[in-house]
Amino acid sequence: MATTHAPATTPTTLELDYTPQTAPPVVDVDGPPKVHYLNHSFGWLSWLLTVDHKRIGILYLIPLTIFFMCGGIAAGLVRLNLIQPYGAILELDQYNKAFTAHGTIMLFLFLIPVIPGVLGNFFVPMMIGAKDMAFPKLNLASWYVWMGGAMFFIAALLFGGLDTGWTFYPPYSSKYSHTNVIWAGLGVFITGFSSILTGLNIIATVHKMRAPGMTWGRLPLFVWAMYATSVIQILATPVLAMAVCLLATERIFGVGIFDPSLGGDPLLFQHLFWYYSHPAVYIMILPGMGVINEVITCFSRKNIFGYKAVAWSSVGIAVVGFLVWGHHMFLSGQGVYLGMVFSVLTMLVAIPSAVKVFNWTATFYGGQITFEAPMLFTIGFIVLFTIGGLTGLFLGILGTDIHLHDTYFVIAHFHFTMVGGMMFAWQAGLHFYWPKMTGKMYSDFWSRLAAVIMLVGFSLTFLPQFVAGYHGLPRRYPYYPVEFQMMNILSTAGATIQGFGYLMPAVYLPLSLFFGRNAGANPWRATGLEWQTPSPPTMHNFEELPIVTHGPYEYALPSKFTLEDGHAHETKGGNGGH
Amino acid sequence: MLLAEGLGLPLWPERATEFAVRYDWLFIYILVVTTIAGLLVYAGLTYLCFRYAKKPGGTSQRVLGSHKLELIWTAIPAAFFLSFFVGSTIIFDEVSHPPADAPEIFVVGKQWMWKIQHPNGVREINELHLQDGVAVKVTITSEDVIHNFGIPAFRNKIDAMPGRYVTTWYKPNKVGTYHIFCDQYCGQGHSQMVGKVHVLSKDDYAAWLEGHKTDAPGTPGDRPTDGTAAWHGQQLFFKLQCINCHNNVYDADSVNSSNRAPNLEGLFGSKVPLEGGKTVSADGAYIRESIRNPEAKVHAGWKAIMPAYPRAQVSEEELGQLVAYIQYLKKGKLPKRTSQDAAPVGAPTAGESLGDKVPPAPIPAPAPQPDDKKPADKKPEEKKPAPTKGGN
Ligand code: HEM
Ligand SMILES: [Cu+2]
Repeated sequence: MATTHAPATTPTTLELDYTPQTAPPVVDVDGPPKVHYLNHSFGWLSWLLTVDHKRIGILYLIPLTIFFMCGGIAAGLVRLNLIQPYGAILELDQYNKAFTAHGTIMLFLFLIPVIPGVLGNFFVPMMIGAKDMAFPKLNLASWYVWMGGAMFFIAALLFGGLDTGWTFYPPYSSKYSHTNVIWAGLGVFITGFSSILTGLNIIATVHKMRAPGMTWGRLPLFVWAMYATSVIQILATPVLAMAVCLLATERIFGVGIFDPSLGGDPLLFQHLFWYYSHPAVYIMILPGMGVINEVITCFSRKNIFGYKAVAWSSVGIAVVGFLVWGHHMFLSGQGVYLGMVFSVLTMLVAIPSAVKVFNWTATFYGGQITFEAPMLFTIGFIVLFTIGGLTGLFLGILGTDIHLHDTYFVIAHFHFTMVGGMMFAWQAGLHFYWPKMTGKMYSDFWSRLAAVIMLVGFSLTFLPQFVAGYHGLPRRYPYYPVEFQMMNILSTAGATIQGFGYLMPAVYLPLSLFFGRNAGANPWRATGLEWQTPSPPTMHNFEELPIVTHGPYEYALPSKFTLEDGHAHETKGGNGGH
Repeated sequence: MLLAEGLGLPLWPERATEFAVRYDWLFIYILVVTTIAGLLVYAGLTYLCFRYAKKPGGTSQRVLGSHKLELIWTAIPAAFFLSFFVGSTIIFDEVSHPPADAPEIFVVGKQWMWKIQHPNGVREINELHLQDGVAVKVTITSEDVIHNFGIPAFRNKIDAMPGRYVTTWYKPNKVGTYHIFCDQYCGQGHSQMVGKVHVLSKDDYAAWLEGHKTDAPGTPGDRPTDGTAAWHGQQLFFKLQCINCHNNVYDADSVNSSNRAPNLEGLFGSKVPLEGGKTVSADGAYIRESIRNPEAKVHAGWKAIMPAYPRAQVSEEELGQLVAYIQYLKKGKLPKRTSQDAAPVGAPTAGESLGDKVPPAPIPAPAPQPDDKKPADKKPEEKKPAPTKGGN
């Protein structure tokens, strides 16, 4: 540890290209520790059998990136096909498989696991001052379960494909589809267990492993968000597993559960499916919202505006989010009154989301704002998520959903929340924590450019879809009336730009490993406990048990917390502990 | 939406019902409110980013929050959401309650086409002809997977669920041709499960009907003359031997007597007492259920002996026809039945009995089924019956 914390007085030479241009002067540039979590042991087995939460985080990162690329390729095929009203490149069946592959991979194999798997694993223990998760072995097991399920799933897609859409609605999925519903379902079923195990682990960790002084009111909001997410994962995922099992029972044995010609009820499946899948959209967004809190406070050098409101709104979303699933079924004949109840509850759950947006915006007030890549992604998040949330209202309102349901308006809405929201939050988180995870700083210029390109590409892709949707273009249409062609071409053009945007980090982040300047322990001069460790962190994160004496975002207390002296170990020993 | 102009789409999507106009008002109201809200957020964001961009030597202020502000920006959105909800309820209520006297059109979705049946028996595939200014009730179901019958110009859309019957209604007010889309993904041909609604002026509509040689411009259920849905239903009522039990013969010695099952005359719209003490009103949904799954609700005083008729035996279309027939069956409309003339399966059954109430006016003979492009759909037994005779 000797090498870690000595502040370097002069910057090293390599770094020039990689110095954040408006970042506060980096005074704590120091080399990485000689021995850290990446290099304390080598070889495949040291990774595949690791119980270190940080290595497990990296284990998630790599396949997740690959899955994202697979999902992206499928999206590319879909968009390319749509530049012609009668399909540019794909047959009908191929198109159906392509959009199903895109949706299922992106949701089940990317958006749901990405932030919990990578940043949750890596940083929840560090943020609360713990050496590891509560159950490190379970954590590894959970990764294996997830990989197993994912492999099943990918195999099902590669050998035969799946054409039911990510929603698996029977009786199409149970009787009429000739594709790999069972195998894909099994894949989803298995990955679900991983989700449950990870959730359990995080809850136990947050309850049991907090460092002295880390009260609930001092938890970083990312931890609150991960906690709320975990609760949803534990409570909702079993219902998905049940739905998938019942579907398989019907498909294999012909037992009538959902198919009315066998005496079943197709609405039952939708109830079960959305009972999971609506909360699942919050599984996807809450961790992202958590990241936003960390980044926004750091780059505006401010406390979060309304810590309690933001923390409790996560919990509120998690709880009320369980009661709104019927807003996906307004037109299924579920009943007018039921529809009204779901509609009111949907309005109710939109309120905490709105509060969060307002609170983030207000956090800028009185700050000292800088605009490095993580902050640009965060601003992109706020801009896009605002549109996503507001358009959600049109859909959550019973009356307006009549015309918009299952059109491109819905597609645009959820891409604004899930890509504009979660994907941007993931980029923000990745760029924020990359220096901590790898010890290297990436190119400031290219990363900011990537943020701008993604924002522009994204908007061009999805804004026209609102228009097409309001004009009635249904989703999942390989052929469409010719008047929609221009909108589709615009959208495809946007997707192309967006694609370039996503490729950029895939180049400059790996390059930074070789050419990047050493990041130092705390390149952003952030206050969290995770930044009080060297970069990359050592095996057990903290050499001494940190003692926490204050809330998470005390950027505005200059003497103690702006780290003017390079390394104020202000979170330690505040109580005179040592 | 401005973006749309010149990019292939009209400035504002077409509207062809009054409902569409009201829908648009709600939409525009929400659009305006949310746009202002969004712009306020963006304006705030932009201002704060410039105003509080880092300055050399600057320090940030330690602002922890403000309950007052939080209360304001919780309460104001909540109030607006409530107003959205109220508007929404009005709209949704309107779309879910068809006018009582509107003629009923059956729409059956099937991979990958829409089969449409008018009350006067005209059948169409993927096309729907409506008369300008005349409200119609639409009952929708599916024969296989879930579909969704959407007409953007009417701002209307509803799921076609197998085993369920959902109703909506349209009152077109603008002559023209508009898209029908299947909005619920249903497999390979999903994007070809499209069609057109033609809203015709009164004269054009009459001419169109004429072109389809139907003989029944009358109101639905008025009389089951050739080709109407009720007429088809009556065919089935005999063919499936419903009449063996549901008849008006009160002869204790006969097996074919109505002491085994209720006479269905006058049933439609009445209150039916059930085993177990409840009552239901005999609407389309109840009648459908009673045919598909008779044991679900048993008429008080009768044994649950009726067999169920699954889709393999009675298609959704046929079920709709049976409902239309039962709706037609007012008191005294049921043809006389005696044990002697129990019709064998497949026998032409219309002749004799139908004559009863039909006015003597000659009725054009050819049975319609005009638009049914798939001959395979016609079962051989449904062959054109002998033309009706006037009087007994
Ligand atoms: C302000 C909050 C939100 C509201 C009021 C809202 C409302 C809705 C409603 C009512 C629908 C159903 C539309 C239809 O099928 O007709 C819907 C669809 C969807 N929403 Fe949201 N939403 C909100 C936020 C989110 C967030 C945060 C996410 C995910 C990160 C999300 C993801 C989705 C997805 C994936 C669908 C489409 C599901 C499908 O049919 O495939 N939404 N939203
Ligand atoms: Cu939802």
